[in-house]
Amino acid sequence: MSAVPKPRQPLRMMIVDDSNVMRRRIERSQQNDLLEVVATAVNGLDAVEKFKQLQPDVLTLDLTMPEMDGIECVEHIIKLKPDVLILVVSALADKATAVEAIEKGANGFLCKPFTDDQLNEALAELIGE
Amino acid sequence: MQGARAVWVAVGILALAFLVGVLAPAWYFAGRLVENNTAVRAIGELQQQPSRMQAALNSIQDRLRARGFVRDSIEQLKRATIQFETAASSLQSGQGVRIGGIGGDDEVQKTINEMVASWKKYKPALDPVANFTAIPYSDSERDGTQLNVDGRDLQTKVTNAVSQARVYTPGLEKNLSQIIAGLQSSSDSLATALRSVVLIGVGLAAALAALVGYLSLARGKSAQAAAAAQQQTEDILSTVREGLFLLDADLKIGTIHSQATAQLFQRESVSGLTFEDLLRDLVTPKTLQIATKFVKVLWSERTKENLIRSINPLNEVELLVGEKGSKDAETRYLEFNFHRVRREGAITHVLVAVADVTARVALAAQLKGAQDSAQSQMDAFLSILHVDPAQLSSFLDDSDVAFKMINATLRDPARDSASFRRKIDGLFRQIHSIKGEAAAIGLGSMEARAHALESDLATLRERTDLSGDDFLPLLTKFDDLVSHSQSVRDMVTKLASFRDSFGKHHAAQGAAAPSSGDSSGRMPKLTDDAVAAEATLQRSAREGFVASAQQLADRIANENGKKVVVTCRGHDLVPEAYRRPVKDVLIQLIRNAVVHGIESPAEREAQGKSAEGHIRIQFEMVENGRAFRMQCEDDGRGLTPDKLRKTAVTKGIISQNDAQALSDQEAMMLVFRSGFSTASSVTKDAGRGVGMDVIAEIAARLGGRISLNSEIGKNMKLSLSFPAEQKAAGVVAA
Repeated sequence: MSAVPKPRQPLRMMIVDDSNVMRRRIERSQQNDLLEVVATAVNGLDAVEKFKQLQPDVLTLDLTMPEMDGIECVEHIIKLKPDVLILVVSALADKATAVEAIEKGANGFLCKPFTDDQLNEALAELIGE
Repeated sequence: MQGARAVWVAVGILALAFLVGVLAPAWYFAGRLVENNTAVRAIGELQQQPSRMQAALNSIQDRLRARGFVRDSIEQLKRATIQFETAASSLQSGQGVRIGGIGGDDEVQKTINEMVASWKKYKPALDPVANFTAIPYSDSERDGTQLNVDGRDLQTKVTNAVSQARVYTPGLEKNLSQIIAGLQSSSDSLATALRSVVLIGVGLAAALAALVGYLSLARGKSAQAAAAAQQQTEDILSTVREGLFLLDADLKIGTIHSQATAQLFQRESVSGLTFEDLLRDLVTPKTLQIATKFVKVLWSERTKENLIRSINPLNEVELLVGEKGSKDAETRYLEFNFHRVRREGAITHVLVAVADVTARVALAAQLKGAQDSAQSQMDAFLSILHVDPAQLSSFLDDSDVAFKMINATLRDPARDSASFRRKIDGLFRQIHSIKGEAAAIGLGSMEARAHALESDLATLRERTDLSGDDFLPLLTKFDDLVSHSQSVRDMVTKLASFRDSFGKHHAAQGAAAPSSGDSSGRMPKLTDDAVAAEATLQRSAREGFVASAQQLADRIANENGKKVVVTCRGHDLVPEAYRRPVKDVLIQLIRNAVVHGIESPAEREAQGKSAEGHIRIQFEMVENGRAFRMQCEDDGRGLTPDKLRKTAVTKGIISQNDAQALSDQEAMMLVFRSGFSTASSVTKDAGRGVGMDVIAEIAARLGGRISLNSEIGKNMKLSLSFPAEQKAAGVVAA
């Protein structure tokens, strides 16, 4: 995992989800020294804009969003930073889209709804802790 | 395998060494022997020459004296001289004939040199004679034939040569004999050497043969082991029920796969197909597209194992088996699992395991259905809460015990049909008893569930070919029953807690409500109120017993269009430990009396009886307090021994002859036989042949005695006595 810098330094994370509740929920559960939430985005376009400025290491990504959907978003972001770690967060019914996102370069999949433990586990596996 | 190759290389080198080390010397020695032999023959020839020369010289001398013809003798001498000369010089130079051997070479060579030296001295004496070409005689009338000048010269030379021959001939012959002897001894040593080489060769050849033999054997063994391993692989693949096959990087199916694979996909063969072709007719185009993408993603190192599981789009593939619309058509569900196969760290193949999960999916659906219906009946629970709390509490505790026993019975492994039958009979009695108690306290939702389970068991009882799988549907219904019982308990707990905090809240005007997190399934003992309620429940249990007996009788009577009055005396005397079995017995007796014994009001009135039937229950201590007796009497139609005999024969419980041999009293005891029931239709209250046999069983377990009396058309009286020192614990533990 070339994206993992010095072990003590937290990885910089961006949360992409059109749901306010979901964004807050993920943000709240990530108050630790492994990950630092540096930005949140409400849709694909917003995400790509913020990604260009902040260059985060980790992304949680909802697949069904207005403006630009998750798949397109993955394609753009992978082009900007090939070694970024992307966790797709999506409903089980969206498995088809998830497979597509993985094919485009996303690294993990978390099925909605999820518990805090499941989220932490998925992120831990994503960053290789 | 590499070790084996090294060994074979060693064998090759050994064989080569054998050729070089043994055959080459043998070839060389044999060649030398042949040469020696040739030499001996040549020298043998040579050996005669000196004496021939001498003989020729003597002949010339004699003929000269007799004035005879000398030319042929001179020619003879000349030939011998030339022959000897040629042979000797070639012997010395080693050309033509090779002399040699092991050891004797020097000696022989020395002798040859000696011989040649002698010859060189001898030859000048011979040459003038041998080269004489003139005519030695002159003829005259007077003297006749006389030696001429040449003749006299020749005579001188011959005389000289003869004297030289006397000197050299023995020496030359001796030399030649020595040479032959030397050659022979050389041949001897060559022969010995050859023999030794051949001997060594035989030894080496034997060793080589042994080594090759050993290696072939070892190779045969490893080939055998490989064949055995191959056989094992085939056995596994032909036996395993999952479809197992490997996909290569082109997503093509390998040639080796489990036999079940073809069956699962209803194809002759799946070898060489692509994964896409395999799925094409089975799934929707969209699923096919996703599945293909998914399988491609598997080859990427970036895809982690957990991710594979969570995004697997083929974990429940629905597939139609048989012709669409035909009666054989059925829906099956396949589960695909993917495992990456690595060789030296790199992904070489993907192992696909396909299992038929139809049963699991069906069971899950059934379970969900059961849960849904349980949920929908939560509302109905509210209505059952008018049930007497004491009875409800004791029923729930009793049924918990029964559930444990049923669970144990279900888990108990059974192999043969006899043990399956025992299992079913045991389950049947337990469920029947729960049903009875639920009915007794008016818990209809529970009774209906127990009845459904009992019906399934009854169906199973009819069957002769039972297997463990037949018990699976029972589990669902049983779970439903247990979870329903649990829901009832939870509801009671919540209500109690709610009532408690509600009351407190009212009293304390806004005091904090106590936590109601207790969902352990026990009645909560949170407050004084609750403790008091528990005590009341305990106290009212006995009165509740009598009340529930009447309640049960009323309900069953209602359903059967009858009227019954229950009277009960001495219930206080029932020892605590007998409460449960007594209750079980009583439920059966009341049910039996109402369904079978008591007649309809019209029938009763026609017989001059009161419209309502009577059941009298009495408990008493007998034998000076050493025994406890319960009696139950009804004023119904009583038992008809002939009818009982006939039923028993029809049911196959006893034979015609045995039935006839029974006394009336004995015939009445037939009702306690398992499987005996005289009711013509099956209702949930009686008629499945369970009931009276439960009583007999309980009595037997507790060491009790049963007696039965009946007057036809008037009454039936059953009396049960138990020892006062109870064994009731055995009822629960059994």
